[in-house]
Amino acid sequence: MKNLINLSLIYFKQTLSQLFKSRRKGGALSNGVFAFVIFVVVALAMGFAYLGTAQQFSEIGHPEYVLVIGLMLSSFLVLMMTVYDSQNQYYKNKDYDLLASMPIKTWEIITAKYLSSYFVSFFYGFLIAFPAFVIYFIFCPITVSAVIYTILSFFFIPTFTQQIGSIIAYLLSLISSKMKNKKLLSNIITIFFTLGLITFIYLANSSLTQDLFVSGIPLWIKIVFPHINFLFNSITTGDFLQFLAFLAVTMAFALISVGIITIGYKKINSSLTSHSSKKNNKPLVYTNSKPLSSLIKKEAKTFFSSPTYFINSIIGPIMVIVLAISMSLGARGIYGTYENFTSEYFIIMFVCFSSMCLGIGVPTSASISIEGTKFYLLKSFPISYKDIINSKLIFNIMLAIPFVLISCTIYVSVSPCNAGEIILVYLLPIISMITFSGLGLLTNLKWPKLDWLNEAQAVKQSMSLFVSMMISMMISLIPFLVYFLLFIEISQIFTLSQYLALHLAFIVLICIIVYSLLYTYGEKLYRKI
Amino acid sequence: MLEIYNLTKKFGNKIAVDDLSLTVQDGQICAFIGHNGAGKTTTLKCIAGILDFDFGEILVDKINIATKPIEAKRVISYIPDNPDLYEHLKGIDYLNFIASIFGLGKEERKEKIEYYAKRLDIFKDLNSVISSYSHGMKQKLALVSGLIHSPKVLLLDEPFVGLDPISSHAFKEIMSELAESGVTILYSTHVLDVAEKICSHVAIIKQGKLIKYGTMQDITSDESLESVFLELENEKSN
Repeated sequence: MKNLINLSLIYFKQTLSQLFKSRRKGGALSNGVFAFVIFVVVALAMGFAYLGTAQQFSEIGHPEYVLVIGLMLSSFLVLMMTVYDSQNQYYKNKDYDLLASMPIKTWEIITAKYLSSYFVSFFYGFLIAFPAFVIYFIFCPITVSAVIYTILSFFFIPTFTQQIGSIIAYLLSLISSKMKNKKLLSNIITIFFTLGLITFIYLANSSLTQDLFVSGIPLWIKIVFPHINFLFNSITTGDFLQFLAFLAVTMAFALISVGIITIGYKKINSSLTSHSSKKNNKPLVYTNSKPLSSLIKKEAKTFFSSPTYFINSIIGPIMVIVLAISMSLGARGIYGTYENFTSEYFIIMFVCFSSMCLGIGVPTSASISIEGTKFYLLKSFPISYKDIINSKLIFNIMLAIPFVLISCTIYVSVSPCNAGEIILVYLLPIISMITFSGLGLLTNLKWPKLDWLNEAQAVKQSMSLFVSMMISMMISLIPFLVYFLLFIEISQIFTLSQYLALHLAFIVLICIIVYSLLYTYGEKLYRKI
Repeated sequence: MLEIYNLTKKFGNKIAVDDLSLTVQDGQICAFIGHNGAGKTTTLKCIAGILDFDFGEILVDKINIATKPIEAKRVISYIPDNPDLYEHLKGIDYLNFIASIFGLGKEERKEKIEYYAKRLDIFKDLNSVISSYSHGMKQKLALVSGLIHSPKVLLLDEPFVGLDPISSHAFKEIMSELAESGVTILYSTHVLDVAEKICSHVAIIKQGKLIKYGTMQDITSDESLESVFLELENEKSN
């Protein structure tokens, strides 16, 4: 038990230090304040979204269902995150040899690792769930039991889904550890799993709201996410037994998951870290290339050899295609359903949401961190800052551009657009993607994380990713929200092409600002690393 | 030639390198010794252009590293104490990458890679992925990568760690040959008997300050380098 506490404290300190540390005096405080401000902005945005949902549910006399929506979204987010994080946390961590050589029980190592990733899950889970609770208390009566259960439940909200995610990660690692080409297989399995999960979330979210309107909490939630059902019942009815059931199911899953992971921990790690010693007798190939193309090749190899980096970065581009397909397939039906929503509205929605997807997990926001201490090696080479930066930007653009082109082609081939609109539909996501690539790199230069223990720490648990993703989302959604809120006024002044052109001018302006900063202030940041 | 004038590097309020001046001429192998945290690696990183410094001037082959970093880095080779290489690449891919960065032509890179990789007994493993290498093999690959572009100034941070006796001997020979051909070598180490055997000069650093510099013969006289170093450490502590 003493070992567990010591190890947990070390992990906790490390997580805190990696999230907020800064070489500047007072830098940690300003990083913390900045993160808090972004946290508040996102929580407010979520709050407004929940407000609309609660108002809709009020019409059928059940505003409390907003809590179910909030808890589901929070659970989905934690589940998505945990599947990647756990694979790195438990199975591809640099501290495996050290810990395995020490007199610490495996379950203690697993529990300490669980608690360390719990901190990050709690942060994201709380960010999504907390505004739903606030909205719930605005619309529903405040009772002592509801407040007590709410406060107590905060600490356990991510636990259940985090354990499910850990077990899925265990299974994925177990399968890939048994295969010859572990990294490639891990990439393929995880990408299929991610696509499946995105589809599940999409379908579940669409059906959940409908089910809640018609018949209350659906059966599948009670079976798949029982903790949500128990917590919802305990808060809305004040039933202590329901709250106990929530705690029991959460803790039981925690114990089961720690047990399962403990059993396979050493075997999977030994297998994943083993290398084939087969000699390769092929003749050596001496390839001659220019420094920039050599750097781009290195970026590509780094990208495809790291499952975490690969999956995290590919989700956004894949979602752009999924968005195009779902909007194209559903477009005709939706035009007929909502009288106020014209085809113009959906074009704006498509370009804004495509841009938003391209801002999710931009590879550049982790491309400095993923270098680790090799970054210093790179710095010692006779290559300019611009070459290093350009190689990362070019690779990112080369990676995303096919997805954007496919997505836009799918959309314009189905939706009614004139020639001008078609050009703008292509240009807007492309310029947004270029902007977000620069923004990601700038944030990573500002908050680099080179001394990581596993790739997930560099890629997912970083200020740079969080900040660049949030800013990208804000930039993408502003034109959509303006159009949505001032639809009548705007449609009287501008045609769709004119509004899209204005939107383009807005993105181009931001792009110019971002790249000016990247090539001036960014170089100063680079020199300081 | 490597010239350092009044180098000062601070980390916050802590002075890591304090007004250090040092000149290593062409063809000299200078041992750079000091206790842990004395400022050796920080100095090497400043020379290599990895860290910016607060005050002073560093000239590498007469090129100022602060004002012309790219030109200066073309003639430097820095080999860190713990070779953290791109593990997902094959050894040959990594060497091709380094050769491309330094603009080596196909024939030249082939010749240099074969020459150094064979001498350090890593040639047969170049088609394997670096992640499958042992620590010593990674060190050998790092050394080969540092030599193929014919640097004029070689900065070595504990280069013998992890090397087997045969490769260690081979690298000592390479160092001597390079020095004879005019390459400047600044070599940071804690292994004083090796330094005593292969270095022409020695610089001793303590708490960021250079406390002794001269030829190995002048510094050691009849004593061993280890005794001199221990005496200096105790002297300054008292």
